[in-house]
Amino acid sequence: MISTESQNLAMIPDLRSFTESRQALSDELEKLYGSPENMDEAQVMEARRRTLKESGEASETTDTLILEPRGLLLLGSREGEAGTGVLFDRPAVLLPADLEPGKRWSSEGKAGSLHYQLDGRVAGAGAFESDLGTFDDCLFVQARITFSGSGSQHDPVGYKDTYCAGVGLVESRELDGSGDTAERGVVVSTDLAPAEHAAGLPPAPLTPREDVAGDPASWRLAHFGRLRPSGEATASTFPPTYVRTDPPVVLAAAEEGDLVALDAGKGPGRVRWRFHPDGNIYGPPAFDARTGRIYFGATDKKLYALDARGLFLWAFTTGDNVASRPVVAGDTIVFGGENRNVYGLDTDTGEEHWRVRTGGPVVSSPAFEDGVVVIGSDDGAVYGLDPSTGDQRWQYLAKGPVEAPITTEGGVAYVASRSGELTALEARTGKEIWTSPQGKILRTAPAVADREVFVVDDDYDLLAFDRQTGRKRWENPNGSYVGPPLVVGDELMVARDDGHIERLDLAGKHAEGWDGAAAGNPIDGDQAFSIGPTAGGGALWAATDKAAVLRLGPETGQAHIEPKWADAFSDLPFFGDAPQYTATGYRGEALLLGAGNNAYLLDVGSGEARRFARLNGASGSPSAEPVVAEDTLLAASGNALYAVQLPDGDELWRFDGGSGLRPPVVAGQSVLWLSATGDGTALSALDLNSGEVLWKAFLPGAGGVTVRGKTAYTNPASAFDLDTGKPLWRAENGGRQAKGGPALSASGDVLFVGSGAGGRSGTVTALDAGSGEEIWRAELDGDAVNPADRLWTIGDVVIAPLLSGDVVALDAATGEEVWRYTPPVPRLGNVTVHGGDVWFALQDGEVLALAAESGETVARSNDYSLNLNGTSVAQRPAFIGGTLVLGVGTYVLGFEVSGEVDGP
Amino acid sequence: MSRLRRVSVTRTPPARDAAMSLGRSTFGTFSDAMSKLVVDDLRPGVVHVGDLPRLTRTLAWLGFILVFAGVGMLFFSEPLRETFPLLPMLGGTTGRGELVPFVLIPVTIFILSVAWGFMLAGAIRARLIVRLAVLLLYLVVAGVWTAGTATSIPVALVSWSALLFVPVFFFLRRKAKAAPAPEFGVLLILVSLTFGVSQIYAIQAWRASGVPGVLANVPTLLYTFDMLVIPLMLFIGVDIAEFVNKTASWTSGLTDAWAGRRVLYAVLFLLLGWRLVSVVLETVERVGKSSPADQAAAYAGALVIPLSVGAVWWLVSRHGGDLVTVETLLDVAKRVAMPLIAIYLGLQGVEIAVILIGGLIGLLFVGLGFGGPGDPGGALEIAGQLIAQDANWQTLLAALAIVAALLLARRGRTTLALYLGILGANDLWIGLTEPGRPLGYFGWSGLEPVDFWWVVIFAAVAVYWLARARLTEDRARRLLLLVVITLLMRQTGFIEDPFSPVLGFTGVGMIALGLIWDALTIGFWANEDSQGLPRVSRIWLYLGYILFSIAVLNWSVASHDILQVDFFTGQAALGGFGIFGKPLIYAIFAVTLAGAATDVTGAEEPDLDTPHTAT
Repeated sequence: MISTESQNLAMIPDLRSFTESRQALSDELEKLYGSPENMDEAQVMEARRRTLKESGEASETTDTLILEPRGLLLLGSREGEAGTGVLFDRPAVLLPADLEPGKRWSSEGKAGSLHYQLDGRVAGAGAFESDLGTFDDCLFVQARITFSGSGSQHDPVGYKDTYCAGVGLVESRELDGSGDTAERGVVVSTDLAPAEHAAGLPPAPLTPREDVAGDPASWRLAHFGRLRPSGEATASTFPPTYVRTDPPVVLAAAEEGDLVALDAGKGPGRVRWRFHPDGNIYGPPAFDARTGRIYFGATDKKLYALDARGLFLWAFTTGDNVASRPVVAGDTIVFGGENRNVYGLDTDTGEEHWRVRTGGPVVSSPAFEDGVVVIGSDDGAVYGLDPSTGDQRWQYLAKGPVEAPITTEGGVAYVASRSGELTALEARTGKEIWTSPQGKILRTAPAVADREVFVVDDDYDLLAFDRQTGRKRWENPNGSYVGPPLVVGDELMVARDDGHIERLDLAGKHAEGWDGAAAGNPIDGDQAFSIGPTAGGGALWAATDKAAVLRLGPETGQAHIEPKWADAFSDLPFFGDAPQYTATGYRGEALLLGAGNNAYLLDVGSGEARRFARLNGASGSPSAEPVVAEDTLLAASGNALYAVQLPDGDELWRFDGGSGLRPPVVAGQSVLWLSATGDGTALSALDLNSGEVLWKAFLPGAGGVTVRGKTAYTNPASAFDLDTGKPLWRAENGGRQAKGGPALSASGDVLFVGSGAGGRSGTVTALDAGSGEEIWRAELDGDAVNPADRLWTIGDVVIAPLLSGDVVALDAATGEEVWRYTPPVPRLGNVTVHGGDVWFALQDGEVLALAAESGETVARSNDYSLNLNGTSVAQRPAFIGGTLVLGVGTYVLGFEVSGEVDGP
Repeated sequence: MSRLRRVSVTRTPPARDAAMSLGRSTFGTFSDAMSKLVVDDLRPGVVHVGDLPRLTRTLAWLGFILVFAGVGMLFFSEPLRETFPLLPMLGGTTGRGELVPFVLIPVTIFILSVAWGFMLAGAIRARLIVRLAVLLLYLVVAGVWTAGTATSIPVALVSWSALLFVPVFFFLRRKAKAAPAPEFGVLLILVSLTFGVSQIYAIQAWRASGVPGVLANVPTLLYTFDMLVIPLMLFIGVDIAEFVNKTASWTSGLTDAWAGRRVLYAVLFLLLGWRLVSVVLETVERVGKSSPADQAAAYAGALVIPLSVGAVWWLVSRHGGDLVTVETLLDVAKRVAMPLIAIYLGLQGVEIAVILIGGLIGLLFVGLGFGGPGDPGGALEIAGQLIAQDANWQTLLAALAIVAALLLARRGRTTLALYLGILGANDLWIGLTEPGRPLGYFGWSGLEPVDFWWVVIFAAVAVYWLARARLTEDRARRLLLLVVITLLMRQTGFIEDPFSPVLGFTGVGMIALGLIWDALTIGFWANEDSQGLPRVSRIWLYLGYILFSIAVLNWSVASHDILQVDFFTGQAALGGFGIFGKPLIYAIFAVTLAGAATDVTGAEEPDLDTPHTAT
């Protein structure tokens, strides 16, 4: 079997190795090097490898590699975008630095839960003939990896790789147990790909073309996806490009970023694939529906051709930035470079057919009309070229550089130049039909309607011209428009630099537009556009200056929760005192504890915060979410539980009963506190007013506690008399550990507890609350209830947040799984069941709500593309005064929860 | 022997004679043009360094070599882009980015370091105000750079120490004997430590964070000097006006030299006729591309310009006063242009200062661990408000110029009053008719409308005098001069882009030529010596200034920043021409026409109430 491995190697800057890599990788790097400062001789790289098998099946693997004096090390490997990865602890030595024939090496360590042993040798050296060509100086490396552990021995996996001088890896063979080739992988890189490599690929399947429909008055401008993390965002570099592959994607990029394909199908806004050129992308990609290929240029001086699945096909190197959007004309792809050339390449192989020298850099995007490719240059000329030969059919001299893309319609090419002139040319002959001088710089493409041509000038004004005569019809000197405008039916959509999208009729009359602020987030700050919207897939798409892509179109069904405010931990009053865990409500305000044991109150309307108290003498940091009982704050920190008088913050009492991992539970005048002591896990009942110990019991685990009437129920499954502490019953757990807090059914008759026998072999058990008798037990195959979280009951289901990040709903009567939600990225902290929905956040910063009965997503916020894997503890959404308050990374966020959500 | 017999007479064929005569005449014309338009400026302009001490002279030569090398580098931006990786700067031009060849970053920082070395070494011996201004600018610019790049303690210590030692060095050397070369050496080391060490760290931080902070800083560092280059560019506008007048005088003078009286009249009417037809056709074309109503409003607005010139002339000349001639006008305009430019840019200077100080406060916040203050001290908000007031500021200045003109006229300073009055009226009317301003309906774009009215006025005057048989030779000559000036005023293309067909990229040749020309002709200022600004200080300051300009220009050209390049190659100069040059030309129109009106060979008696005029 032959496969093609499309290599896409990206260096990860040292700092990001710690801040952006997944938690396990970061931890491992920290273990290896301590801090980024110690990594002078080590370079972390991420190799995104997309493999296309002959069957057309594509898979993606992401390897994290370290290049250091010892050689090339493999730190981790991950299948798919969100797949679980394997961590190599210690990193596996893939290639030692001193490679020479006969060299042998081995390395071993842990690979996930298994033990690995890698043995490699340089089997020989010499010439090598491959699909990429013949290479004179190559090394043949053989390696075998054996995994063992978990009571089983796995078959070893063999590799035979060929590395050639000046190229690197050119072929990789996977060997079966007998040493025969099981799969031969031809490795193509952005520097080297066989010409025929791309030719035989089948075109990607397409989805039907879908026009923008419906009354724009009912459209909504909403956040769609992100290209870069919030707060670290840089401006988008070209208008989003909708590509109607199956599933459809929206292509976009930001400064210092990849070409990102956001899913426009079933997983809206999620990143489907990324491609990493060695530079920025300023020209929009072109999609050839006939072949299903994507072409784009980058500042690394290359034009790239990708398969619609993001697989690299070929690259063509020019001498300068390629910022023009290519155009496909038959079998030729035509584009311009800043090295003054216009190129015509073979669409299949990237072979150069012709090049034409102009007098200046070419950034204008060409258009293909009436058999002629029309393209402008900074030399002030517009060229009409034969796409098959590059022969110049005609030339038109504008009075200034032509940077704007050429727009064509009905055999006419519309040219906007920096001289301020808008010109209509006959595309076939280059004959001037009309020229309209405006005197302002024109840099963006004109938009053509039936009777008008619209253009935005460099003074941010919108101008309309008669399409037949070029006479100016009207002008809207708003001073904030950004081009190009977009004609949608009989309306005009124009983005503004202040983050609005304006809607006008073709006579220039305004209708109500859209404010991008609704689609933004407080971390990014104010929205702004520098480029106009595009259309595709039944919607409009706009890219913001904060690397977000917005969708403007008919509603998609899910309610949207809007962020109202964001408080950064680095700002006053927190000033580095990172708020911990979950907020709790006090008199309509949110109460938060900081890592430094300060207590803060937050106005949930404005996000304005103030410090009001401190847990005196507390050592360590808060260890469980705070609880407020009337005017008493109960907060666990270090090895004590504190009771603080609100609102003045005076300490009422302090109970040094060990460290508590679960929040205290208040029942009447009693406080139940589960804590780890030297003698084991203690359940202490304290007097709310004095902190006096009423009774104490020891448990074989620390899942959690809940109260109903005069009975306290715990996990490990037990029941105690609330007043006396007398055990009422204790269920046999068969040696399993308690996992997470318990939950009672609405009637209080059934107790649900999570448990596990080590690892992730967990269960949820339903017990009779009166006797402790087991009613049912549900196995959670390979998973367990998250010990830091708790079970919830609502209606007829039990909600179990699992260790893997999945959330499952079990039938409360039978234990059968009703639904399961697997998050696309890891979950952040714990869940909250509120108003019939299950609320939680993801590690990219997104907040979601699932209907408890069905598991359907009923609401979601913008995602922030953050990497919060290091900050996922036990925080969960809290609903206070109509606002959802949640600690996300280094921010506390407040979300407006719309009425459409089954409200708090 | 008769003396006549000693003269050898040789006969040449008539055709050869004519050809030789034409050749001699052409050469004479060319050499006369070179002499009047080039050599006259060049001769006093060359910097003299021969009598300086050897070390100082060597440094000066090295400085000039670096200047010429920097100018030469302008022509190699394309090979640099092709050879080295291109680094995209954050916030580049939409649609194409702003990419610089990697090698340009260290080169730019090197040139800037040398430039600062020269500037500081020049300032240390200059008068207090220059010393403080240069020192303050350096502290702010280098402070912002250092705070943004030197974030590790050892690097910050070195950078800040070197930065702060500069004012200490100024203080220590305040009474010491001048030692230009050693002083330059010490300052160059300090500047290099500040810029260089933190640059190394910045690149390390870039590698570590993936955020090219250094790239974000270099343009900031460069475009701070943008502000310094602008006054020079605006001043070129006055030069253009002078050049236009000089060229027009020389061109119209050719008619005198080459032909007789009849030809003079023929040339005048041919030129006037051609110009009239041209402006009428242009007007028709404009109406065709817009609408009659719009163009009627635009042309009505443009008519105010010549009318206001007439009004100012009448207002300032009725008080009598000094003799107004073209020469005195040129002299006055060149003398007051730089202070006027400084006032004109004053608000922008304040904006830059506010932003810089705000930036420093912000960095201080971060440095002290208070987190990002967002908009420190509201600096950006204040700067934003100031920027929004730019148009109002310029309108206010224009109004003040008119008031000043009236006051000066009363005091008999008619020449200055005329220039200031026309400048104020011109700017005020243009300001008020900008889009969005109160009289925006009367606004116009392009040169055509105002040109139309001047041509019509000159034609009307010519026809009037001709009809009344008063078109004397002197009047015809004066009118010819004015018509040639209107013609030259339309030829702005050579200012913007004279070499692009040859060199292939907008205006690079013009920039290079301008810089070399500046380097060759700065001597008129650098050869002077005064206690407040000794000669070596002048040379050092000039070298520093021109190196800043070269660093900025190289960056703009290499990054294909068309806006910046356009700005340097034409827009700034044309802006200066519009604001400070055209009023000078209009004043010349007024003086020349008034002079013609009082032509004693004509039938009219001179008006004794008007000041004496002559051309």
